[in-house]
Amino acid sequence: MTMPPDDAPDTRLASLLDALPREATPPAGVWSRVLAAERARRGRRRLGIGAAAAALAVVAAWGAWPARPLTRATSPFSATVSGDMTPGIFSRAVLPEEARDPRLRAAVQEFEAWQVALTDPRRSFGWPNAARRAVVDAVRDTEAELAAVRAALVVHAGDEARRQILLDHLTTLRALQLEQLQRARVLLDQL
Amino acid sequence: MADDAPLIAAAARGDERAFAVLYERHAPRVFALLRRLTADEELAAEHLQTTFVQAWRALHRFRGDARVETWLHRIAVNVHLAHLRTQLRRSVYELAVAELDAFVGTIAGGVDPALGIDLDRAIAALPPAMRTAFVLHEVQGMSYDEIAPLTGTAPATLRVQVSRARDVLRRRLGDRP
Repeated sequence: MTMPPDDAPDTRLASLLDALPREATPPAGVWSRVLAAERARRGRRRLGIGAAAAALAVVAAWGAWPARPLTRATSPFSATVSGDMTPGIFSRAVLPEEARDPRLRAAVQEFEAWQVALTDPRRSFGWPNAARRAVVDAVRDTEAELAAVRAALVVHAGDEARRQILLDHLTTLRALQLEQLQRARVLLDQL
Repeated sequence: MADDAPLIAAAARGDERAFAVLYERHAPRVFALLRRLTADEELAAEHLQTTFVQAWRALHRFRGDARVETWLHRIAVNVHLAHLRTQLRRSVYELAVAELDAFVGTIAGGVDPALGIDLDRAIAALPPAMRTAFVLHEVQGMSYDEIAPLTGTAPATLRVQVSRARDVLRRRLGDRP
Protein backbone atom coordinates (compact mmCIF):
# COMPACT_ATOMS: atom_id res chain seq x y z
CA MET A 1 0.00 0.00 0.00
CA THR A 2 1.39 3.43 -0.94
CA MET A 3 1.46 5.71 2.05
CA PRO A 4 0.95 9.43 1.79
CA PRO A 5 3.94 11.52 2.90
CA ASP A 6 2.36 12.37 6.23
CA ASP A 7 1.32 8.83 7.05
CA ALA A 8 4.11 8.27 9.55
CA PRO A 9 4.33 10.39 12.68
CA ASP A 10 7.16 12.91 12.69
CA THR A 11 10.25 12.20 14.76
CA ARG A 12 9.15 14.27 17.72
CA LEU A 13 5.70 12.72 17.89
CA ALA A 14 7.17 9.25 17.33
CA SER A 15 9.63 9.63 20.20
CA LEU A 16 6.84 10.83 22.49
CA LEU A 17 4.71 7.87 21.43
CA ASP A 18 7.58 5.52 22.23
CA ALA A 19 7.90 7.08 25.66
CA LEU A 20 4.25 6.60 26.58
CA PRO A 21 3.85 4.34 29.62
CA ARG A 22 2.56 0.93 28.55
CA GLU A 23 1.29 -0.05 31.97
CA ALA A 24 -1.03 1.48 34.53
CA THR A 25 -2.04 0.14 37.91
CA PRO A 26 -5.69 -0.91 37.86
CA PRO A 27 -7.88 0.39 40.68
CA ALA A 28 -8.20 -1.89 43.67
CA GLY A 29 -11.40 -3.85 43.61
CA VAL A 30 -11.57 -4.68 39.91
CA TRP A 31 -10.22 -8.18 40.46
CA SER A 32 -12.69 -8.94 43.25
CA ARG A 33 -15.55 -7.82 40.99
CA VAL A 34 -14.27 -10.07 38.18
CA LEU A 35 -14.16 -12.96 40.63
CA ALA A 36 -17.64 -12.24 41.96
CA ALA A 37 -19.11 -12.01 38.44
CA GLU A 38 -17.58 -15.33 37.41
CA ARG A 39 -18.75 -17.09 40.57
CA ALA A 40 -22.27 -15.71 40.10
CA ARG A 41 -22.29 -16.91 36.49
CA ARG A 42 -21.24 -20.41 37.52
CA GLY A 43 -24.00 -20.44 40.09
CA ARG A 44 -26.61 -19.35 37.55
CA ARG A 45 -25.33 -21.92 35.09
CA ARG A 46 -25.65 -24.75 37.58
CA LEU A 47 -29.16 -23.54 38.41
CA GLY A 48 -30.06 -23.17 34.73
CA ILE A 49 -28.83 -26.62 33.80
CA GLY A 50 -30.79 -28.09 36.66
CA ALA A 51 -33.95 -26.21 35.72
CA ALA A 52 -33.64 -27.13 32.04
CA ALA A 53 -33.15 -30.79 32.90
CA ALA A 54 -36.21 -30.70 35.12
CA ALA A 55 -38.29 -28.98 32.43
CA LEU A 56 -37.23 -31.49 29.80
CA ALA A 57 -38.11 -34.32 32.14
CA VAL A 58 -41.59 -32.88 32.62
CA VAL A 59 -42.07 -32.39 28.88
CA ALA A 60 -40.93 -35.92 28.15
CA ALA A 61 -43.19 -37.36 30.82
CA TRP A 62 -46.28 -35.56 29.59
CA GLY A 63 -45.51 -35.90 25.91
CA ALA A 64 -46.46 -32.25 25.62
CA TRP A 65 -43.64 -30.95 23.44
CA PRO A 66 -44.93 -32.02 20.01
CA ALA A 67 -48.45 -30.92 20.90
CA ARG A 68 -47.56 -27.40 21.99
CA PRO A 69 -49.77 -25.02 19.99
CA LEU A 70 -48.27 -22.33 17.82
CA THR A 71 -49.34 -18.94 19.09
CA ARG A 72 -47.60 -16.80 16.50
CA ALA A 73 -50.39 -16.75 13.92
CA THR A 74 -52.96 -15.42 16.37
CA SER A 75 -50.74 -13.27 18.56
CA PRO A 76 -51.57 -9.57 18.99
CA PHE A 77 -48.05 -8.83 17.73
CA SER A 78 -48.55 -10.39 14.31
CA ALA A 79 -51.96 -8.79 14.01
CA THR A 80 -50.79 -5.29 14.80
CA VAL A 81 -47.31 -4.94 13.41
CA SER A 82 -47.19 -7.35 10.50
CA GLY A 83 -47.52 -4.39 8.17
CA ASP A 84 -44.23 -3.06 9.46
CA MET A 85 -42.40 -6.31 8.94
CA THR A 86 -41.50 -5.69 5.34
CA PRO A 87 -38.23 -4.44 3.87
CA GLY A 88 -40.12 -1.15 3.59
CA ILE A 89 -38.89 -0.58 7.12
CA PHE A 90 -35.61 0.34 5.45
CA SER A 91 -35.37 3.82 4.06
CA ARG A 92 -35.26 3.95 0.28
CA ALA A 93 -33.72 7.43 0.29
CA VAL A 94 -30.13 6.44 0.98
CA LEU A 95 -27.03 8.42 0.14
CA PRO A 96 -24.70 7.25 -2.65
CA GLU A 97 -22.08 6.46 0.03
CA GLU A 98 -24.57 4.16 1.77
CA ALA A 99 -25.73 2.56 -1.46
CA ARG A 100 -22.12 1.57 -2.18
CA ASP A 101 -21.77 -0.09 1.24
CA PRO A 102 -22.40 -3.84 0.76
CA ARG A 103 -23.67 -3.99 4.34
CA LEU A 104 -26.86 -2.20 3.26
CA ARG A 105 -27.81 -5.03 0.88
CA ALA A 106 -26.66 -7.58 3.46
CA ALA A 107 -28.86 -6.02 6.16
CA VAL A 108 -31.92 -6.02 3.90
CA GLN A 109 -31.25 -9.64 2.96
CA GLU A 110 -30.80 -10.63 6.60
CA PHE A 111 -34.11 -8.99 7.47
CA GLU A 112 -35.88 -10.73 4.60
CA ALA A 113 -34.36 -14.08 5.57
CA TRP A 114 -35.44 -13.51 9.16
CA GLN A 115 -39.01 -12.82 8.01
CA VAL A 116 -39.04 -15.99 5.92
CA ALA A 117 -37.72 -17.96 8.89
CA LEU A 118 -40.58 -16.64 11.01
CA THR A 119 -43.08 -18.24 8.63
CA ASP A 120 -41.43 -21.61 9.20
CA PRO A 121 -43.02 -22.97 12.39
CA ARG A 122 -40.13 -25.39 12.95
CA ARG A 123 -37.69 -22.49 13.19
CA SER A 124 -39.81 -19.83 14.86
CA PHE A 125 -41.41 -22.26 17.31
CA GLY A 126 -39.64 -21.05 20.44
CA TRP A 127 -39.50 -17.35 19.72
CA PRO A 128 -41.36 -15.17 22.19
CA ASN A 129 -43.28 -12.25 20.75
CA ALA A 130 -41.11 -9.81 22.68
CA ALA A 131 -38.05 -11.06 20.79
CA ARG A 132 -39.76 -10.57 17.43
CA ARG A 133 -40.81 -7.09 18.43
CA ALA A 134 -37.30 -6.27 19.64
CA VAL A 135 -35.80 -7.12 16.27
CA VAL A 136 -38.26 -4.89 14.39
CA ASP A 137 -37.74 -2.09 16.94
CA ALA A 138 -33.96 -2.35 16.61
CA VAL A 139 -34.14 -2.01 12.83
CA ARG A 140 -36.59 0.88 13.09
CA ASP A 141 -34.44 2.66 15.68
CA THR A 142 -31.31 2.29 13.58
CA GLU A 143 -33.15 3.59 10.53
CA ALA A 144 -34.34 6.61 12.52
CA GLU A 145 -30.78 7.34 13.62
CA LEU A 146 -29.50 6.93 10.09
CA ALA A 147 -32.15 9.40 8.91
CA ALA A 148 -31.00 11.89 11.57
CA VAL A 149 -27.41 11.61 10.35
CA ARG A 150 -28.52 12.07 6.72
CA ALA A 151 -30.37 15.22 7.73
CA ALA A 152 -27.26 16.50 9.53
CA LEU A 153 -25.19 15.80 6.42
CA VAL A 154 -27.51 18.02 4.38
CA VAL A 155 -27.33 20.81 6.96
CA HIS A 156 -23.50 20.67 7.08
CA ALA A 157 -22.90 20.03 3.39
CA GLY A 158 -20.06 22.57 3.26
CA ASP A 159 -18.15 21.35 6.31
CA GLU A 160 -15.88 18.52 5.18
CA ALA A 161 -14.56 17.61 8.64
CA ARG A 162 -18.07 17.35 10.05
CA ARG A 163 -19.28 15.44 7.00
CA GLN A 164 -16.52 12.87 7.42
CA ILE A 165 -17.44 12.21 11.04
CA LEU A 166 -21.12 11.92 10.13
CA LEU A 167 -20.32 9.54 7.27
CA ASP A 168 -18.30 7.43 9.71
CA HIS A 169 -21.39 7.28 11.92
CA LEU A 170 -23.49 6.11 8.98
CA THR A 171 -21.06 3.25 8.41
CA THR A 172 -20.96 2.35 12.09
CA LEU A 173 -24.74 2.36 12.38
CA ARG A 174 -25.19 0.16 9.33
CA ALA A 175 -22.60 -2.29 10.68
CA LEU A 176 -24.45 -2.34 14.00
CA GLN A 177 -27.76 -2.98 12.27
CA LEU A 178 -26.31 -5.86 10.27
CA GLU A 179 -24.71 -7.32 13.39
CA GLN A 180 -28.03 -7.20 15.25
CA LEU A 181 -29.85 -8.95 12.42
CA GLN A 182 -27.18 -11.62 12.11
CA ARG A 183 -27.38 -12.18 15.86
CA ALA A 184 -31.17 -12.42 15.61
CA ARG A 185 -30.86 -15.11 12.95
CA VAL A 186 -28.43 -17.11 15.06
CA LEU A 187 -30.69 -16.79 18.10
CA LEU A 188 -33.67 -17.88 16.05
CA ASP A 189 -31.97 -21.16 15.29
CA GLN A 190 -30.62 -21.65 18.79
CA LEU A 191 -33.92 -21.35 20.63
CA MET B 1 6.86 -12.56 29.75
CA ALA B 2 6.52 -15.95 31.41
CA ASP B 3 4.69 -18.74 29.63
CA ASP B 4 0.95 -18.27 30.02
CA ALA B 5 -0.11 -21.61 28.52
CA PRO B 6 -0.14 -23.64 31.76
CA LEU B 7 -2.08 -20.87 33.49
CA ILE B 8 -4.63 -20.71 30.68
CA ALA B 9 -5.10 -24.48 30.82
CA ALA B 10 -5.47 -24.47 34.60
CA ALA B 11 -7.87 -21.50 34.56
CA ALA B 12 -9.98 -23.19 31.88
CA ARG B 13 -10.35 -26.11 34.29
CA GLY B 14 -11.72 -23.70 36.89
CA ASP B 15 -8.53 -22.82 38.80
CA GLU B 16 -9.25 -19.33 40.14
CA ARG B 17 -5.67 -18.82 41.38
CA ALA B 18 -4.32 -19.44 37.89
CA PHE B 19 -6.64 -16.80 36.47
CA ALA B 20 -5.64 -14.43 39.28
CA VAL B 21 -2.01 -14.75 38.17
CA LEU B 22 -3.03 -14.02 34.57
CA TYR B 23 -4.89 -10.95 35.81
CA GLU B 24 -1.90 -9.68 37.80
CA ARG B 25 0.38 -10.26 34.84
CA HIS B 26 -1.73 -8.62 32.11
CA ALA B 27 -4.18 -6.23 33.75
CA PRO B 28 -1.72 -3.28 33.94
CA ARG B 29 -1.16 -3.26 30.17
CA VAL B 30 -4.83 -3.81 29.37
CA PHE B 31 -5.76 -1.04 31.77
CA ALA B 32 -3.25 1.36 30.20
CA LEU B 33 -4.76 0.62 26.78
CA LEU B 34 -8.32 1.10 28.02
CA ARG B 35 -7.47 4.35 29.78
CA ARG B 36 -6.04 5.65 26.55
CA LEU B 37 -9.01 4.48 24.48
CA THR B 38 -11.70 5.79 26.81
CA ALA B 39 -9.92 8.82 28.29
CA ASP B 40 -11.90 8.06 31.42
CA GLU B 41 -10.40 6.34 34.48
CA GLU B 42 -13.67 4.97 35.86
CA LEU B 43 -14.95 3.77 32.51
CA ALA B 44 -11.59 2.12 31.83
CA ALA B 45 -11.87 0.25 35.15
CA GLU B 46 -15.37 -0.94 34.20
CA HIS B 47 -14.13 -2.06 30.82
CA LEU B 48 -11.17 -3.82 32.46
CA GLN B 49 -13.60 -5.79 34.61
CA THR B 50 -15.75 -6.67 31.58
CA THR B 51 -12.67 -7.66 29.60
CA PHE B 52 -11.46 -10.15 32.17
CA VAL B 53 -14.95 -11.52 32.81
CA GLN B 54 -15.35 -12.13 29.08
CA ALA B 55 -11.87 -13.62 28.86
CA TRP B 56 -12.64 -16.01 31.68
CA ARG B 57 -15.78 -17.15 29.93
CA ALA B 58 -13.93 -17.62 26.66
CA LEU B 59 -10.91 -19.47 28.06
CA HIS B 60 -12.03 -22.77 26.56
CA ARG B 61 -12.03 -21.13 23.12
CA PHE B 62 -8.48 -19.78 23.41
CA ARG B 63 -6.42 -22.01 21.14
CA GLY B 64 -3.04 -20.39 21.64
CA ASP B 65 -2.57 -19.18 18.06
CA ALA B 66 -2.07 -15.64 19.42
CA ARG B 67 -0.29 -14.40 22.52
CA VAL B 68 -2.49 -14.06 25.59
CA GLU B 69 -1.67 -10.36 25.71
CA THR B 70 -2.85 -9.90 22.10
CA TRP B 71 -6.00 -11.89 22.81
CA LEU B 72 -6.79 -9.81 25.91
CA HIS B 73 -6.14 -6.56 24.07
CA ARG B 74 -8.52 -7.64 21.33
CA ILE B 75 -11.25 -8.37 23.87
CA ALA B 76 -10.59 -5.00 25.52
CA VAL B 77 -10.85 -3.18 22.20
CA ASN B 78 -14.14 -4.95 21.47
CA VAL B 79 -15.51 -3.99 24.88
CA HIS B 80 -14.55 -0.37 24.22
CA LEU B 81 -16.09 -0.40 20.73
CA ALA B 82 -19.30 -2.04 21.97
CA HIS B 83 -19.60 0.78 24.49
CA LEU B 84 -19.00 3.38 21.78
CA ARG B 85 -21.74 1.80 19.66
CA THR B 86 -24.13 1.96 22.61
CA GLN B 87 -23.33 5.65 22.93
CA LEU B 88 -23.99 6.03 19.21
CA ARG B 89 -27.33 4.32 19.53
CA ARG B 90 -28.28 6.55 22.40
CA SER B 91 -27.98 9.69 20.36
CA VAL B 92 -25.92 9.59 17.25
CA TYR B 93 -26.46 13.17 16.24
CA GLU B 94 -25.71 14.71 19.63
CA LEU B 95 -22.56 12.63 19.85
CA ALA B 96 -21.47 13.77 16.41
CA VAL B 97 -21.89 17.37 17.43
CA ALA B 98 -20.08 16.77 20.73
CA GLU B 99 -17.20 15.11 18.91
CA LEU B 100 -16.94 18.01 16.54
CA ASP B 101 -17.01 20.52 19.35
CA ALA B 102 -14.20 18.63 21.06
CA PHE B 103 -12.32 18.41 17.78
CA VAL B 104 -12.62 22.11 17.05
CA GLY B 105 -11.81 22.94 20.67
CA THR B 106 -8.69 20.84 20.48
CA ILE B 107 -7.43 22.70 17.44
CA ALA B 108 -8.41 26.13 18.68
CA GLY B 109 -7.49 25.65 22.32
CA GLY B 110 -3.83 24.79 22.09
CA VAL B 111 -1.95 23.70 25.18
CA ASP B 112 -1.54 25.45 28.47
CA PRO B 113 2.26 25.87 28.58
CA ALA B 114 2.12 25.26 32.31
CA LEU B 115 1.00 21.72 31.60
CA GLY B 116 3.96 20.94 29.38
CA ILE B 117 3.88 18.24 26.76
CA ASP B 118 1.39 15.69 27.90
CA LEU B 119 0.75 13.44 24.98
CA ASP B 120 -1.70 11.30 26.91
CA ARG B 121 -3.72 14.41 27.73
CA ALA B 122 -3.68 15.46 24.10
CA ILE B 123 -4.75 11.98 22.97
CA ALA B 124 -7.54 12.04 25.54
CA ALA B 125 -8.88 15.25 23.98
CA LEU B 126 -9.35 13.63 20.57
CA PRO B 127 -12.91 12.66 19.56
CA PRO B 128 -13.66 9.00 20.47
CA ALA B 129 -13.56 7.51 16.95
CA MET B 130 -10.40 9.39 16.04
CA ARG B 131 -8.79 8.52 19.38
CA THR B 132 -9.63 4.84 18.94
CA ALA B 133 -8.10 4.73 15.46
CA PHE B 134 -5.00 6.64 16.61
CA VAL B 135 -4.35 4.55 19.73
CA LEU B 136 -4.84 1.25 17.95
CA HIS B 137 -2.63 2.24 15.02
CA GLU B 138 0.07 4.40 16.58
CA VAL B 139 0.27 3.10 20.13
CA GLN B 140 -0.74 -0.53 19.70
CA GLY B 141 0.87 -0.88 16.29
CA MET B 142 -2.14 -2.45 14.58
CA SER B 143 -2.49 -2.07 10.82
CA TYR B 144 -5.50 -0.36 9.26
CA ASP B 145 -6.57 -3.72 7.84
CA GLU B 146 -6.51 -5.21 11.34
CA ILE B 147 -8.48 -2.35 12.85
CA ALA B 148 -11.11 -2.15 10.09
CA PRO B 149 -13.09 -5.31 10.96
CA LEU B 150 -13.03 -4.40 14.65
CA THR B 151 -14.42 -0.93 14.19
CA GLY B 152 -16.57 -1.50 11.09
CA THR B 153 -14.74 1.42 9.50
CA ALA B 154 -13.03 1.29 6.10
CA PRO B 155 -9.20 1.29 6.15
CA ALA B 156 -9.21 4.48 4.06
CA THR B 157 -11.40 6.21 6.66
CA LEU B 158 -9.15 4.99 9.46
CA ARG B 159 -6.15 6.41 7.66
CA VAL B 160 -7.91 9.79 7.43
CA GLN B 161 -8.79 9.67 11.13
CA VAL B 162 -5.22 8.83 12.15
CA SER B 163 -3.80 11.49 9.85
CA ARG B 164 -6.15 14.09 11.35
CA ALA B 165 -5.24 12.97 14.85
CA ARG B 166 -1.55 13.46 14.02
CA ASP B 167 -2.32 16.94 12.70
CA VAL B 168 -4.10 17.85 15.92
CA LEU B 169 -1.28 16.47 18.07
CA ARG B 170 1.40 18.16 15.97
CA ARG B 171 -0.42 21.47 16.37
CA ARG B 172 -0.52 21.00 20.09
CA LEU B 173 3.17 20.17 20.18
CA GLY B 174 3.86 23.12 17.88
CA ASP B 175 2.16 25.46 20.29
CA ARG B 176 4.86 24.75 22.82
CA PRO B 177 7.34 27.55 23.34
